[in-house]
Amino acid sequence: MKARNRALVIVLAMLLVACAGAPTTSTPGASPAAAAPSTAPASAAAAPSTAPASATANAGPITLNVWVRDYTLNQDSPFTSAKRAFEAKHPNVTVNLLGLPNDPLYQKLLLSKSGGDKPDVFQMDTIWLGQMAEEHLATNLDSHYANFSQATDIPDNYLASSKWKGSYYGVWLNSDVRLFDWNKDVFRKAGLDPEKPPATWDEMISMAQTIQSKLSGVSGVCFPAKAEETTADRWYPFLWMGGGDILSTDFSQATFNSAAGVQALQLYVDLVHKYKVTPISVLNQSGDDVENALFAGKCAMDIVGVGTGQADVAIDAQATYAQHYGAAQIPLCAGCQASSGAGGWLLGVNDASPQKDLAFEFIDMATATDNVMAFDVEQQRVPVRKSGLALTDAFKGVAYFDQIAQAAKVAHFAPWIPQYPKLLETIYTAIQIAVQGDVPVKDALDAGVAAANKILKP
Amino acid sequence: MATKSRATPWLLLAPALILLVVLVLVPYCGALFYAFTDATLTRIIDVNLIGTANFEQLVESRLPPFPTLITTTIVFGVGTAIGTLFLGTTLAMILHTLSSNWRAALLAVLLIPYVMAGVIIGYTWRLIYDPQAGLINTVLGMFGVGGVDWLTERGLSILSLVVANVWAGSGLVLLVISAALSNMPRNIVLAAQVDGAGLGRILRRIVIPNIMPAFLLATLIALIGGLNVFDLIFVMTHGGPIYQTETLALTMYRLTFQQGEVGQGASLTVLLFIFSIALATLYVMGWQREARRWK
Repeated sequence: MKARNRALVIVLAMLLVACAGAPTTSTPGASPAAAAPSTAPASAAAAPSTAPASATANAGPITLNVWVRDYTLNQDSPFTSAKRAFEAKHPNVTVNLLGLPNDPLYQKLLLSKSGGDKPDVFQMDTIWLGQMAEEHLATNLDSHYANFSQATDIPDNYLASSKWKGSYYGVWLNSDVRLFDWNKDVFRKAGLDPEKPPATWDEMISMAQTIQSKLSGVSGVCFPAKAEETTADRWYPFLWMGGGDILSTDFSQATFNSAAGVQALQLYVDLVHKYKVTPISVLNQSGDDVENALFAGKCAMDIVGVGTGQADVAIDAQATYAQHYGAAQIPLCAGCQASSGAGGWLLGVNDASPQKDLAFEFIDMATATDNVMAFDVEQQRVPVRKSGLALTDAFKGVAYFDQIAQAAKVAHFAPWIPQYPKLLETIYTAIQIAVQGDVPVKDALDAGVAAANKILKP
Repeated sequence: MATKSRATPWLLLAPALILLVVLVLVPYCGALFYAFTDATLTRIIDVNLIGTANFEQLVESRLPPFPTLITTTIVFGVGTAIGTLFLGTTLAMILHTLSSNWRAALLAVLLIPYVMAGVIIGYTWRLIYDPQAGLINTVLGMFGVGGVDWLTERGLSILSLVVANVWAGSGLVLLVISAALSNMPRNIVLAAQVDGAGLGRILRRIVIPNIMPAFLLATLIALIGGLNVFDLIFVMTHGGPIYQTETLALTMYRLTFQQGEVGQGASLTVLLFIFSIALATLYVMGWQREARRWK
């Protein structure tokens, strides 16, 4: 008996030591910083959105916690300028900005529902909107929109994507669209006109074959097919251009196995297996990896998101950038409509915030065209205000702003439903299965749709 | 006085025990509780007990199928353990033949991969495996071997990850075995040599029995380390393509942090804990058998 007890103690002790010494399982980039807790008195909630400074002057010290993406706090940040203006207008208010990488921001927001630090204002990806609304993290902004002067300045397709179940839950900050990119140096070396990108799928395949026949070690066309978000995101425009969609209009059923979906995915499969102009190694490449391959001259053409490609290039280097790389509308299939995908960021007000009016006033200030333009230009983001889009002179330093603006007009959005993180997995898995080449495209998509429908209607 | 002397060891152990309880036992108990609840990232306090539903969903999962997940985890864990034990033990034995100055210097160099962050190792090996510009394919190209897709070809991708993890993890085995070899009485080996024993016989009859307890400990650490690896796989393949390199640790992250299903993620933690308990039990059984042989 004693020996058995001793053995048990030894097992547990060894396990504790071994587990404590096991390799860490930390998430790359996960470094959420603590934010100061909100110290606002409840009385501050009564302040109207158009409140003059005096309305909060006697309310005691107030802290407005604003959680945003980390990169937005660099350069000409719309949040630091809004903070300055806001604190000048409301001397008793301190705006506390917290910058976080993408995943930690998402996780910290969800966890804030259970306790601990909470933001008053937070930045959210367009695909998080439904989830934030359903989880009562984002508050209903209908009453604020009723007096929101910027509302009429927001393009209709973007305004519609600020709504969940008919109500507003976010205010657009800025957007990014998907464009087709090519390496002009590679085109030159292959004897192709570097200023003439392919306009159709056939032209794209033909150019890719020409490049591969003349240059060794260069892939004709690349697309991301790794087990992650960009794989689905970059495929969507091919689905949309054929008239297909990811979900039915009421978001109740998955429809990406339509004829348009099959056609779009068959293109990917053919590029890899039939025309052999795309390496199978794209199965382990994200959007960033493919983009790096383009910049390195290892890949001649690819689809990238604006805000990840040209955005890394400083404005004063844009002209040089344009000598080496091109950006244009995504090539079309026969009989298809021009199409692009859009992503981007909205600002929401926390449902638990004791100072929603002040929070919305800060959003109003931060997203105003005159406040956000410098940042949009620097980051080559798409302004989500008609007044911003009209300021073409401001963007004259951005190499392909005309293409960006054109794509924004035909941009679609990924569905912003609460189940999107799970749904995404079914889509990129279907793409991976088809691209690997063992399963027919239709079968891969049907399996994906069946899995997606289980998620939509558990 | 007797009471005081009985309390002394516990008082001395207390700081370490408190840390272990707070940092290891409490989280494990939390995970065990959440495994039977419907907790999500937005609801981790007011949760409902749902019995074994999380485990049932896990077993019925098709993305990826549960047997595939278990197989991948075992292949990666066992492959890592075998590789690190072989490499670590071999290096330790080679070092043992060198002078103490050289041994110390080389040991420090060989331990570098072990102290590097998994993320850095992952990115480094991704570059090494790059099909177009990677070191391995460049070298193979010199011998006329065509580009190999190390991280996308079925079967090869898990092997590639094991190799990277063996490189990263063999340092600890090296350290444990080196310590055991240093403690081995040198006169036994000298006596065997005087008696005319060859290298093989010395290894089989003297060295291996002497380092066996340390070897068993290194085996346990290597196996549990292999089961828990997350960062290296996450960086190198994200578990893909098509879940071919997804292990329990990666699924736990995906379910918990990407899908927000804390309860389901916790049920995987419990499975990993059971695996670890089983391995530790096997270790103690082996250790006791060895101890009996030496009595």
